[in-house]
Amino acid sequence: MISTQQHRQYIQQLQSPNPVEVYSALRTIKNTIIGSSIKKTLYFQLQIIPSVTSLLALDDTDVQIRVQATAIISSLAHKGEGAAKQLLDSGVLTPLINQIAPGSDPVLMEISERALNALLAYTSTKMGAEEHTGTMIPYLLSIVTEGKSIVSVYDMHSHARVELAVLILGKLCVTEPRQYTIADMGAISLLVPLLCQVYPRLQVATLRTLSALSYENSEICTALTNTGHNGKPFATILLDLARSHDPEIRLTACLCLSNLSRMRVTSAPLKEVQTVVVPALVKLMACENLDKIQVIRALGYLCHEEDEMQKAARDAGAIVDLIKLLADIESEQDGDFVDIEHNTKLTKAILLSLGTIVSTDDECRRKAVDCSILRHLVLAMGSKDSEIRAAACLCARYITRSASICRTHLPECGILKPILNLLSDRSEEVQVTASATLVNLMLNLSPVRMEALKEGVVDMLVKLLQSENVMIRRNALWSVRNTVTELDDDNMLKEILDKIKVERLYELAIGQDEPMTQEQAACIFRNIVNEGQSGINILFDTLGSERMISLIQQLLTAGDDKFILHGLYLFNNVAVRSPEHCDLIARCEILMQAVIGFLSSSSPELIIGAVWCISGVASHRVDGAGDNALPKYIDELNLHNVQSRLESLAADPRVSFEVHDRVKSCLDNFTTTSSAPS
Amino acid sequence: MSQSWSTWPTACHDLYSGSTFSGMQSNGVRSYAVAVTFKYVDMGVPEMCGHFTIRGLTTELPKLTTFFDVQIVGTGNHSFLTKQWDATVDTDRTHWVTSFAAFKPYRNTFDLGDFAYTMNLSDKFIFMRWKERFVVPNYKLSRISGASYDGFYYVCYDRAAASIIGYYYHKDSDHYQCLRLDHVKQSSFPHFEIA
Repeated sequence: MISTQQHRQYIQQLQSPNPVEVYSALRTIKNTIIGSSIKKTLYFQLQIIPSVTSLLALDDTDVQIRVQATAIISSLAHKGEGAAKQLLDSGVLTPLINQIAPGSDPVLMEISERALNALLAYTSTKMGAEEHTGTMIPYLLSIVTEGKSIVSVYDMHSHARVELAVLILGKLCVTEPRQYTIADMGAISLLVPLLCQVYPRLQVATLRTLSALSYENSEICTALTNTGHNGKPFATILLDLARSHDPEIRLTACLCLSNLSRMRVTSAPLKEVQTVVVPALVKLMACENLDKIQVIRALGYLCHEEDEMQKAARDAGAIVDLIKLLADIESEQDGDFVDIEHNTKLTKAILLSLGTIVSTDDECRRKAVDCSILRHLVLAMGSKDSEIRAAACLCARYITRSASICRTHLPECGILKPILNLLSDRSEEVQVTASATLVNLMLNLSPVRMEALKEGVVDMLVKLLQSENVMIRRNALWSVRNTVTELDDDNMLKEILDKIKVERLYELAIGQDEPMTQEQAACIFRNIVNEGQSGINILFDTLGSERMISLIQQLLTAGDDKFILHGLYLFNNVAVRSPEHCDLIARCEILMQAVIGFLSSSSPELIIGAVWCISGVASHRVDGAGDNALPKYIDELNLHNVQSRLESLAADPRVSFEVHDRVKSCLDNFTTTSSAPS
Repeated sequence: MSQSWSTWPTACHDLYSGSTFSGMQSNGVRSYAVAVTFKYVDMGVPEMCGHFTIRGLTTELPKLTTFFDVQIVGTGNHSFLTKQWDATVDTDRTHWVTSFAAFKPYRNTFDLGDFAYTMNLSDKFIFMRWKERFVVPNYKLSRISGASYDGFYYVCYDRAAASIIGYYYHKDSDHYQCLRLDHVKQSSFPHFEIA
């Protein structure tokens, strides 16, 4: 057993003028720290970094000493991100990069590449290497270029150098500018031929780097699909590799194909991505030698907002397999040898991927529900890990997009209470996803809406409205908007509005917050007045006619069509639902002019909204005259030439059929009756 | 975990969330009052579902409501060929051809391999299949004496007439049970969205 004192002596020995002593100390230290985290910690404490870095920084340091010192750096970098960051901060990158310059000693070059590869394994160090990329990238590419001549003849060290250079290039691709820098220096034409070599490690390294190079970069994806090797297009090479017997080659080829598919590169083999890549990834989830988390994330990435990929994943059995994996993790939760950190990451990856797969297609959702996903989600919502709770909520949000599931399995699966609890979770991310799920639970087709109201959801929403996070405020308002839609209960509507406060909604709707919350608030007004006279009375009594008119006017003059539409339908719903309040808005010159102005809009939706408003006003009759009552507002409308403008629209062949039909119906109000005396 | 800025669901004329159609279903001997309410419509996905309420069909449940979802012909993978629910090409032909005059242009081609039909929101007619899934509110109720929802409806929506005609098909049920529905006019509109 070597004492600490002895280790300290080795460090001191590094200052010796005798190269043999230095070499000997380095060799001993290297052999001591390799594979031992404790010894690495000890040597960090003994300040090994400055000693080793200074040795490498000297121009006249012997190659053998450099090799040993670099091996120490490589080993220390494997200790973790903190250690790698410390090494990077000590300025070790410059000598390491110099050691991979063309013409360097081959052994030193290889060991330096290993050290760089280990150092750049972490996000912070990859980002931190920015100022060195200008030198490093050309050196790495020159190693790959040099390797081109030797890859046809097997030479372990040459191959290792090329493989490491390729891997480091991939690790540098963490930003779009870096991707372009590497591609612009000719990486694509150097890397693609390496895919056709029959050395699996080199193929995997190349595929990994091409995947990093093309990730979320449509220009590079396009450039790649325009290349090939020996007459074989790039995509065909990838598809062949995606069918390889080697799971790692299969996975990395799938990652590259996923990038092409996600970037919708026109020449990408999209059909094959569905038929080859998706099933391959699903099968790879069961491969013990691969990183399951990476496979599952890749599947989720491929399926993100891609309807056809989601269906392909379902057909390949992804939903069943992912839920089974969840169940396996749950069952081993209390085991003695469980890697909790890994299981946490895996659970999160599974939930997010499942969420992605069920986000669009109802069949996928039903499949997931048939496999008892709701039970697992409820369990995950109680996890100690906030990221798992958030991922479970996100998945629940997508599952609850299904009207049929909302009507069937939701009430009895017990999801409401955990969701309500998570609205006050200590993690903001959980609050965001839980409140987004609540939006769907508060739809009028959801049987748990009433239960949620009984559980005090309105009080919870009031709290959320005070959140500093705009997404939470937006979701809370969105839930209110769905809650007051077709409520059919005047007392409950009053109770809700007493708590939410009409004044607060008004402030939000007139733009005292972000546009996304403003839109929700505006729509709440529209939905409240649609509930009938009682809702309209609450709003007008609380705010007064002037402010209600001002609100409608503000919405009608907003720059965004969504706000204008809410304004138009708010106007229309008031006009239709309450003759008394219709009088107020119909006789408001500014409002009527604004509404009529939209008859000339270029947006068919806005024209239709305006025509509905005109119909709503025009349909009213003079009070107390029975069935033969005369129309009340036709004269006012015609002061603005509304009838002739409608007739022009009806005769205009350029307007859409929807506008045409709506205008024709509206004109019935003008043409079937005589006008009332003014 | 980004959440996109909401995109409004796409409606199609009288086919919108909350829209109601009412009318009768008849088997030639008896007629029953029917009301259909679309609970959620987004022609952009496309996704449609709703509640189908029939009155007087059984004594056990004088008012029977089922939840149904919709396949819109000419969207996604949905062609005129049903390929499920015990429907054969002959069943499809018989129903589409004999039941819907609007189907005439497609009667000789609809079952050809290279026939591609795409629904447009501006089409005067929209062909659909409605499949009842479960009873509302008791979705576990699988058997109802005197009623069955194992089959499905061939449906055609006529935009200009704001009406819907449908024919129920199930291999063991009375053939050509005809559904005729008219849009219930609505003049005020709420707006809700799924997150």
